[in-house]
Amino acid sequence: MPREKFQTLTEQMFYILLCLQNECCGTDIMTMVGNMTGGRIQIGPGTLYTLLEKFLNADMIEETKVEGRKRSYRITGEGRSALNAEFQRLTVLADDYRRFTAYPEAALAVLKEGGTADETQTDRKDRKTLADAFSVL
Amino acid sequence: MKRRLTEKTEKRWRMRFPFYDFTGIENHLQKMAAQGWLLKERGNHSWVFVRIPPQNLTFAVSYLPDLSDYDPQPTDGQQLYYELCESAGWVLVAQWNKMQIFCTANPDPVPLETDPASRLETIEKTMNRTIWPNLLSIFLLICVQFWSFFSQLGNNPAQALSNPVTVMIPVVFTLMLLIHILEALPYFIWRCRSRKSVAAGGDILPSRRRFQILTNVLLALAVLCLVPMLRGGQLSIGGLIGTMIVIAVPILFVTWIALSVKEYLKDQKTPRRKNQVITISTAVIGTAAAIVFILYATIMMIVTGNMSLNRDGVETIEIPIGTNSVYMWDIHRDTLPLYAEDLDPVSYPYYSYENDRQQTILASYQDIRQDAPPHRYAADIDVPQMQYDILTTRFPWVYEYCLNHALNDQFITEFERVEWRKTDSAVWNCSQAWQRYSMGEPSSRWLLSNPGSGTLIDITFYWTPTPEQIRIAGQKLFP
Repeated sequence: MPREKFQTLTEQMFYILLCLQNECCGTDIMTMVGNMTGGRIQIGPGTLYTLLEKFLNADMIEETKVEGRKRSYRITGEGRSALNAEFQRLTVLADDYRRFTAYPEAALAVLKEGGTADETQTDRKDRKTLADAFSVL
Repeated sequence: MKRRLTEKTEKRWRMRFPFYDFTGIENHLQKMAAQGWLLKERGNHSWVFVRIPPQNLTFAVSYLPDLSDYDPQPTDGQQLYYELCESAGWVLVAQWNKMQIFCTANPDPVPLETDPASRLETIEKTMNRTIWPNLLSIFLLICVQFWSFFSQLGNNPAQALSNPVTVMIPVVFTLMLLIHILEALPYFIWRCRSRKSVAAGGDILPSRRRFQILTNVLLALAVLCLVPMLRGGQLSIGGLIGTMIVIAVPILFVTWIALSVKEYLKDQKTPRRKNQVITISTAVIGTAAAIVFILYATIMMIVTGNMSLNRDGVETIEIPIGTNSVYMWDIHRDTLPLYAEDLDPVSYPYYSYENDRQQTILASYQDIRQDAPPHRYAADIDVPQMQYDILTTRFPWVYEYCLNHALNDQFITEFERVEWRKTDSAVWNCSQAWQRYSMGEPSSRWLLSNPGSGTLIDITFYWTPTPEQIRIAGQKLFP
């Protein structure tokens, strides 16, 4: 099922918004993203142009300065909300990863008995085992 | 691909890559650069290359869907785009319509596009603004052609079904629509496959050229359809060439004027909307003027005899009127199945025998007349004249349709009554015959039907023929 526009951000979208927490121009974004990710993520100029246009149309960024051909941008409140939402989503993913990777059998057993994800770490007889296991980690 | 050598340092190629086939275009440009040819500019029909030392260059094709051919160049968006690309080491090589082509000598450049989903979306947006208008405009043209065809069919089916231009134009336009659809279909297939690939985390797939053979076959068929249009027409070769010049020159001139106005306004940095309004208004006014000119020129050419219909065997004579003036009278000497002299052995030097023929695979039609000059221009001699149409059809359904249409050509009101009434067909030597009646009185017009030979004749005598004359006419028309 296709993702709704900006419901989740791609890595490139995420890092562009991250850069624009401070005012900067489009040409600097490409360099900054490469530096932030150690070269793991590259943003091509064509992609950057397209995404900046999309963010502007969605009021997630605003143009702050025009100096000849150079244009500077900054994130807006709308953009910060999207960035935060994406961060929260990724955090949940990370938590779920930790939870279900460390003690997968115990956690899945709780879920099979009709428990919730929260209960995999609450008043159950395995709690101590889990606590001991976490202390080992 | 075709090439035409214009200069040693410049070369033109007509490349048939689909507009969205960026991979194919990039690979080809890279090969050309390695052979020492760099793209200089991209026109509507050919790409211009200039000589360079062979180099390993990387090319990238991108699309700006919001760009319009009416925008002053470069737009603010384009300037930003070029700024970003230059900072990444990409140099603009050529741009055409919504396509921008860049190159770099960097052996390991940052790709112009790094997000397949975003790139695919941009290409789709660009194509939506080109494919659909093209298909829609040709579809509308087809609708107009079919409407015209069915109008003519409703008014005069005998002439419509035997006129090669009337019959073939809808066929040609339908073939053109099929060709456009076959050229668009590979795009939709590629788009569907690429969407699935990108949704699964992969890249945009390379496009494949499909239906090439079928497209070429349809194109050849469309060209073949033009042959009967040219052969079956009523114009002489000179008339045909003259007609093409009279029509083509004004159209080309108006097109050149409109394009020049558009380019001038772009150079003046005129906003897009204003440029569109002025250019389109220029085109509309120019087209209206061109139509008036074409009509005037055509009429003048016919009147002066420079573009006559079937001028072969036509003699123009001068008939003296009074002491100082003459009347110009064209005498045709075509072969007719029935002459007035067969019915009344009169000798008259100014008779014109005209037989205009046209035919298609559905039917053939002859518009025949034997005329004398108007009385006021000739000696006061009352000579027999007549006019008749002979329709010969190749299919029973065509025959039935034309016969029914002819018989329905009658009107009965409170004050007027014009109708066909069945009459003796044996004397006409045919299967069925009807005579035209007006206000209850018989006229000298008959409709003669012979389904066996697919022949339908509508004949009018400009005198009242005797039964013997009718018998002779029947023998001649239905041997």
